[in-house]
Amino acid sequence: MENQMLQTPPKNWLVQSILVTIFCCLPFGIVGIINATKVDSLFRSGNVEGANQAAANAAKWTKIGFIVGIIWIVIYAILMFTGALGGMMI
Amino acid sequence: MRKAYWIVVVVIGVLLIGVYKSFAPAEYAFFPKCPFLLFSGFRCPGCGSQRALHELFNMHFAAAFQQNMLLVISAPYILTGMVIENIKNPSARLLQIRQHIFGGYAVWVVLVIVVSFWILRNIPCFSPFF
Repeated sequence: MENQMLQTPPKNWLVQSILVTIFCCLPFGIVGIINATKVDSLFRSGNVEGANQAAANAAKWTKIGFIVGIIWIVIYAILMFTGALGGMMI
Repeated sequence: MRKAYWIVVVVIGVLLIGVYKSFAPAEYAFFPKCPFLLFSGFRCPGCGSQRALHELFNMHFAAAFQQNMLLVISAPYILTGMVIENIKNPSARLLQIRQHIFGGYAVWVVLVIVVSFWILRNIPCFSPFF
């Protein structure tokens, strides 16, 4: 089991990065995918610490993309609401 | 706690599917516009994904493909990834399969596809196809 743990690279957040890229419309998802490419290559070269660092970065950028996406939707909803009140449809 | 989380996920999911199936994003202003397109004038890899979802949920696959082909081709891949990630105590064989499809060179393939799609859909002579 321990051996298996050692052979399994850390979670690379690829699926979540693609989702953020497609649905949050911001380049942060791509930064997540770039970090995901590093996770495995570093792990393969034996740099476990570097792989963990890249995995943490992939997670960080994916979450930033997700949160910024949510904030944008909220801002858009507020603009929409006030704009609609002023008779200004975007 | 975990059960409550899944109930919330399923309820929100069903609501969103209902909204995107019933309302065409191109015809209603309440769907959020892409901030990248709004501020930069360039299309991002996700532009058209809301319209594509609307077409997908109504079984119009060709129309969905026209709106955002990246979403259509990546949907089965993403769904597979989500299912595999949520399997408890995966077997060694499953971990190996996951590593082949979602790790190593596969990540580079995804990166190249996403970035080429992003560039091609912003080049005027290619943009009608992407």
